[in-house]
Amino acid sequence: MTLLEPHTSAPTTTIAAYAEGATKIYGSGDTQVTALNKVDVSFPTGEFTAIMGPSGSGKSTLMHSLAGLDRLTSGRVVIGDTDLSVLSEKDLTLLRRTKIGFVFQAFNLIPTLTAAENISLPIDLGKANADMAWIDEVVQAVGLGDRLDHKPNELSGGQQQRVAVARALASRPQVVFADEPTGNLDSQTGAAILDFMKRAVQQYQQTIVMVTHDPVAASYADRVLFLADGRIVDELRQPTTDTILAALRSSSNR
Amino acid sequence: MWNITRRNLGANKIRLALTALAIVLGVGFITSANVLSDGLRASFGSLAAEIVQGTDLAVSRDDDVPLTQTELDTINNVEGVRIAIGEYNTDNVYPTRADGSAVLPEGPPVIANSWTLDDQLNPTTIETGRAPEGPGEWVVDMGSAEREGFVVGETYDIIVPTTEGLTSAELVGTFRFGENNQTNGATLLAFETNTAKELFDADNFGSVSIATDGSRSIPEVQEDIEASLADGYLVQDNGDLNAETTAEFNSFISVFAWVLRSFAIVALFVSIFIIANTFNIVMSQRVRELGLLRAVGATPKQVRRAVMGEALVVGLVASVIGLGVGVALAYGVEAFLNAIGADLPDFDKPLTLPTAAIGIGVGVVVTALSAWVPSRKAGRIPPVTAISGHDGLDTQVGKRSIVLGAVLAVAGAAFTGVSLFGGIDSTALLLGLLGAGAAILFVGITLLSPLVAAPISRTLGAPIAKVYNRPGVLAKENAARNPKRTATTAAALMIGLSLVSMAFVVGQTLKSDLNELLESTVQADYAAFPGVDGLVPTAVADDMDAAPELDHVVGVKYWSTEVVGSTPLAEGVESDVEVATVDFDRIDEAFDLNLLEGSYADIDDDSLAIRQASAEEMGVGLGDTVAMTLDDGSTADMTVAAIFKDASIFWGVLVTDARWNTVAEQENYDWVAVSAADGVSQADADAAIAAIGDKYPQIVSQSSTEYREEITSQVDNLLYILSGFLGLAILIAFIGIVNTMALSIFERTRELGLLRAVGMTRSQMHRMVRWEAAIVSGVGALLGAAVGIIFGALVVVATPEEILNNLSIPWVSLAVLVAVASLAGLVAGFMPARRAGKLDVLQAIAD
Repeated sequence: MTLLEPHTSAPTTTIAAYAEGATKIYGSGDTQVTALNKVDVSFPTGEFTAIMGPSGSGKSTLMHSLAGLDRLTSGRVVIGDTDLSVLSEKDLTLLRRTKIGFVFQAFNLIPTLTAAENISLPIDLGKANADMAWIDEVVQAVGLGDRLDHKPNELSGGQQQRVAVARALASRPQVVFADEPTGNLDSQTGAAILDFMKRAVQQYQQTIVMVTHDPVAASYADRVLFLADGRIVDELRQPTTDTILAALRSSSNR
Repeated sequence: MWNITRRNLGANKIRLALTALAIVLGVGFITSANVLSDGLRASFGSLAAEIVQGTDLAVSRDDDVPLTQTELDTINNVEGVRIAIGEYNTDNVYPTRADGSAVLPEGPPVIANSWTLDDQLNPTTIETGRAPEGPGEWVVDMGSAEREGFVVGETYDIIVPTTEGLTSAELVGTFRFGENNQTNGATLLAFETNTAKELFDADNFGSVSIATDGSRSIPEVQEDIEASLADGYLVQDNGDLNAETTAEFNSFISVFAWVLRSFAIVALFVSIFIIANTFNIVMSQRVRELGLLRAVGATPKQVRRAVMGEALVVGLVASVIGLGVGVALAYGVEAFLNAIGADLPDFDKPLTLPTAAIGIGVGVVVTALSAWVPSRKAGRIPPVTAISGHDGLDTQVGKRSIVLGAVLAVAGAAFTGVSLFGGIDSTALLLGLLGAGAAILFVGITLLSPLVAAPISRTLGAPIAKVYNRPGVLAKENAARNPKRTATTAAALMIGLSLVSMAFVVGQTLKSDLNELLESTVQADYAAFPGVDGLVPTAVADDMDAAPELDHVVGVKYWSTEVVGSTPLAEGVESDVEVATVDFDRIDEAFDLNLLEGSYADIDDDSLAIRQASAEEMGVGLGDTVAMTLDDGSTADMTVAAIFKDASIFWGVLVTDARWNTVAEQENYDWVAVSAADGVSQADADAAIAAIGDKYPQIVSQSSTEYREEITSQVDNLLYILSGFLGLAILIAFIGIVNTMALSIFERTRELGLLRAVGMTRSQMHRMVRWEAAIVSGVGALLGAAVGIIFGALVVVATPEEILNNLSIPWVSLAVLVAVASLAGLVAGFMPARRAGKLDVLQAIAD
């Protein structure tokens, strides 16, 4: 299984994205909720990180803030060498287009565009010339073959998610953020998607951050961060399903 | 269920406002038509009462032939009659101002009367100066004197319908009409009785007014007058007179109101599509909620009722608002009509109970009709949708609706065909059938149009996709993704634009036909017309003859009388034809009537020239005889000596001047054709024409090209006014587009959120939404132009060849119309685009 193959790339020390003192507070007064509490975290290039934690732990908020979809109350997020906290709405959008890839749990594709058009969407939205060789490679990797010209509603759920991952990779982003990418899939189809993501990390030095509550999905990552009450409470490297379950048990006992 | 209806209404205020807007405007327009007609009626009603005030009885003849002095003497001898006065009146006399320009009835009328010597019968009182007492004197109402700058004691030229055309008279006084000189803008002037008789070119009294002496009751006097006169006289009392005068005003007002109402009906018809479409979209968006209602035990009937109840409340509220808008619109329409030269008097704009009832009734019924189909659909939503969220309502074009559309289109076309070609006599029936046919046809076309909506959207969108890349592609695909929705949204615009396009096609055909005919028929360089109602005095023709720069002066007179040939005409068909006279020795100098048979030289007092089509109708040929009814009621047998083709200036028969004088009593010309004398430069001829025009302000002289331009510009003006009124329907259509787009945006929240997440900027999203709106508009505009061209062609084919002949389609104007309407979609898309741009990405994705 690809899962067990060793890293083919050399270890790297560059940082694709990081957050410093990331704090997000919703509401005020009695109803005030601290979703993120001074989180410091960094994501080295070419690493597959899973973020786990119970609902309300702040894992989605952390991901949204990292991805430039939400703004922090205080602290900062840096993608590559760009500080998101100082960007205008428009620059943030352009940054998402070029530096960030997304895979959501569902509704990842534009129904009026074909699979191929969905993959190249972030590039087509810009004026820059696409790296056609790279796009071709990504498209090949999706393995859709002649279904590339089909609209999303003619594809299976697994095929749709593969197209979504390819779309996230198409612009060679600094980081790909995935939010429960296999949440809507059966375990077999889900495994194929996770393999595909892992291969992208290994072969192309892609950085991926994935939010999940599924230990099996998290076990595909190089490391797992555990969040609770807006803080990082634990970290696992080279996790397996068993070590993750153990860590989850210990963190909920704390 | 009522509770749910109420909650839903509260929950979706914007959606509600957009739905209501279409109803508000439709009800507003119909209300304004009623408010205007009520107001005008009241205003003219009080005018009528002032006119006849003081007159106890009035005598006229059934056949409208004026009364003579003999009859007046008879009436004066009836016991109980204090005085009977014969009055002369005309609307062909106009004063000129100090600067020589004429006060013409270009809006409110100019009415000249003989001065009534009896105080009771005279509705006016002298304000300054004195009453006119003899030749060369006149008086005018005080309001007009002030408005036009007439000064008592000064002498002014007065335009009169005599052969001289002008007279000069001193203004000896001003008078007050009624109590407040409320003339509704009319100019009133008066002359001493015998002077009036001469200047008005009148032999007999226009009317006879009677005041009683009080010794007997009015009905008794009325009876005796009736007895003293032969049969065929009408004796009316004050109430009858008032009613008659009011009825005359009312018939005019009611035509005007129905014109307004018909535009309102078009607007309301268009609204039905908009509202139905809105409810349909709302239903599919609320499918989960409605499914939940079914799941917890609501019956389909209850769901239907909840939806229907919601619609009715919206309809009711919107109608009430529409009433207010209607009153405001009445002021707007008044201003619009005044701006295009109607010059209406000031009048109240009352919102009467019937007006309010009609407005609310129409609004509620229209809404109920619109919500009918959507409510049936809502009732069919299965309970399982509460869980699945899948609406079970088809977005695909159903076979059933296509079949229904085809059936309705054929039925509508049949109705329209019967009304256009069926030879129906009753105008009301014809218009009703035509309207119903067109309405059914439109519904049919709308049901069929989803078949073409997607391909048209993709074709229109292709260049946009080229220019704007991905946002353009998405705009195109979004317009094409739900053909039913796009088609229904575009339907409203299609209807409005098809009517405008039809008018353009008919108007263009009319213009080109007229131009072609006039160009080939009229050889003369200039034509002199009466500037307003009235005639061209013979003195004008004499002056032209006398001018060395001008030559080939040919005066034309028209009348109409019964001319019967060998074929008996169908019962009820008007057998009157136009009888005209020209100088046959000079006719070739001015006109080419396309003489087919015979020759003008053969025409004497007992023969005539006839238009080919008229001859065919009467079943006569060259050498045959027709019977022509003369002025005194006898008939003359006339031989056909020439047959001509023209149908632009002569429509019936042509006779000699001597024969014409036995048919009609008219010395002056209807118009005069004249050319530059040989060897005279155009500038010199123009100057001579201008000099004559200055002398006679009542005539308008134009060169042949000016004349043709004027006719075409009149057709154009009519088209602009028509388009202006249809503009309301088109405005409602655009509200529909805003509405659909706003709802689609709401429906596509997640998709839009995704686009933003993967890097679509706000301005790209604006562009995408606006161009989608433009493409939807384009679909409606294109379909509308196509349908309009077909309608226009049908009208041209159905209309007699003499009026509309060679179909001429104004491609450029139509292309501009379609382009403008499509680009207006960009404006319609503005608000929805902003909403889409403001979307909170995080929330949209989390939804």
